[in-house]
Amino acid sequence: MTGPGGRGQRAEAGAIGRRDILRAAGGVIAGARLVSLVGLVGCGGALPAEIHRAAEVARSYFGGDPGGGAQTVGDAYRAALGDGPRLERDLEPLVARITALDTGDGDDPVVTALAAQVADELGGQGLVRLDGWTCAPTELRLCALVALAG
Amino acid sequence: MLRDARTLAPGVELTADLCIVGAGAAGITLARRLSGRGLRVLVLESGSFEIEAQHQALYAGTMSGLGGWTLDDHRWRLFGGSTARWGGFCMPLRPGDFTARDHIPGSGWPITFGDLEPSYRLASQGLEIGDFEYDAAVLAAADDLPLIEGSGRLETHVFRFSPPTRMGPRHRAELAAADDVEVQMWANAIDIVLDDGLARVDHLLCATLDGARFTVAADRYVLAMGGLENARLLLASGSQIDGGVAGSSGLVGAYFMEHPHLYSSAMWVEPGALDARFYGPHPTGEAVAGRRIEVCGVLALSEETRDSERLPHITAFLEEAPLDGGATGSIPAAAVSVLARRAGRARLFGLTIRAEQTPTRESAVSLSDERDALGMPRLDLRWVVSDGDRIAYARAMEILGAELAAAGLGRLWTPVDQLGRFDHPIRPGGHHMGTVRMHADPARGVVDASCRTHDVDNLYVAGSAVFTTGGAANPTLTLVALAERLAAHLIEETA
Repeated sequence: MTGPGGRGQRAEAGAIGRRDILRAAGGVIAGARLVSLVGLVGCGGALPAEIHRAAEVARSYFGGDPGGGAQTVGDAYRAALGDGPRLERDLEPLVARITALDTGDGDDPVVTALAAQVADELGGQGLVRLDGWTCAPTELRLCALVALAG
Repeated sequence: MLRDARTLAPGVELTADLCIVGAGAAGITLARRLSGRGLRVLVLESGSFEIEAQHQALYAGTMSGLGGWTLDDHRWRLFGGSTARWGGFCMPLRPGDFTARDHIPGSGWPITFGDLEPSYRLASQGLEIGDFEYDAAVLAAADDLPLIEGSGRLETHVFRFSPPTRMGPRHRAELAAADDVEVQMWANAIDIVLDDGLARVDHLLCATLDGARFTVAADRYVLAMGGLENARLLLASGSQIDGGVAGSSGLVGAYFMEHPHLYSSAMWVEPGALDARFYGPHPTGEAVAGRRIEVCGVLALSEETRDSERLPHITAFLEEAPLDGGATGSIPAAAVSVLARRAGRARLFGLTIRAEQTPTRESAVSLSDERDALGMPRLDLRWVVSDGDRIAYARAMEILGAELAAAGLGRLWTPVDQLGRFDHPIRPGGHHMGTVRMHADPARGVVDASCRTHDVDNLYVAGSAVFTTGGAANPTLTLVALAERLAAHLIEETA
């Protein structure tokens, strides 16, 4: 029999800590120009232009984030990595990648390329589990950019 | 013929060509198949025709491993055995489940899927599940239903549903009318007595709950008492050999396996992301005795993926009810739905995952110091699911989640701890396997490919106790198929 597989057996949710990130992909784009994000977080001022632009693209990637989901996920990702050098190092390659892709033809070509990158990651090894959700690292970084821009 | 062992004269010896101990799915299958073959078959059934507390109490024991259930859960001591309560889930093991996999220590049956396939077809008839067709593409196409397609790492496997066949009421009249089958009800085998050479069973010592004793002498014996009780009787028959009968390998009772049931939540964005009709029980165009056959798709990882990732087998049921009423840690599903990049409402499903358990010697049944009403030692079950398995389950679910995401269907939420282990209470499926495992090497198993014990020439074991590995399919179809195969072997051997 398959006995106790019913709903009534489902109790005691596993408590997953915010730092439950198991595998973060390296994600470094070979040859990409790295953008310094030092001081990015908590600087109290406007974001550097490249970061600001990357965040715009990220918001476009999520269709404008009308429900604020990207902001919520991004905040969780930021909290998991901690706002500081670790987060900066994690975001740098993606910002560089977006900057390299952004040739002035609008957001769509960049978003398409990022979607392909996410799809590749989902089919590979470098997945990230954030609070139990299985995600591609790039989409979490995009969320973090949305969250940083506020 | 149905008889009442409580009315036997004290000390009487019953004789037969073949004695089957236990009238559950395996025992009844054997008795039916062997009837009309020129053999005198004697079946011993401990219980009644209904579930009764005094018989269930004989199953009680202790749990020293993973808990959450008791030894008198999930199994039923009556004519028809646990088919009295089973859910009817039928799926054969996959061909790859029979092979030796270096990442699953202890894997590798001494028989192949091909060896068992003819018996699977007979078992399918016995369990009234229609055609032996488990190709999801064929079944889905027949009903014009879509399958969830991944990137090649995801497959759809299929369960077929038995009515479910209740073996007791279904076959009681047939066995009562059989002149060559004698069923002694309320009869318990309590000791296996070997001959002087310790190479053959000489007789069984039997008892009834009201204290009567009698013996059974037969040419051959089949233990068909269930995944735990088979081991219990072998271990308890220690009057001549320390450690009991058929125990030269030291493996009787060891390698207990379940199908760990893992629960997770999956989020889809509605409307339109998912047409999951194939993944719920649904009728097909097939019918058996006027009953439409139902099937249900389940998600699984491909064999290639499991091998390359060194993972055990899993099957995942989609359920309408999400885990813990929708708990998904600190990030709500509605927020995560943004990752799908589709407009719509986040909707949570539950995933119920049956997982293959890597055989491990530490997961075992043993005799406790307590005794039941018959004077038999009770069992202690130490069910152990290793950290390696828990990590593998988490990885398997991670891949499953990634495939669902890549297909644009949604996201999977899986509770995992800091060490990467699946971190939610693991539940049993009520599937008891492996305690009298099959292996060609007498040092690594208790029975051989024909289900004969390596140590004792005329002693066989039927049921899920002989499973070398358990795959991710409910065991009933396979254990009935093994009983069919054993019946064919006995017919050939006695011809």
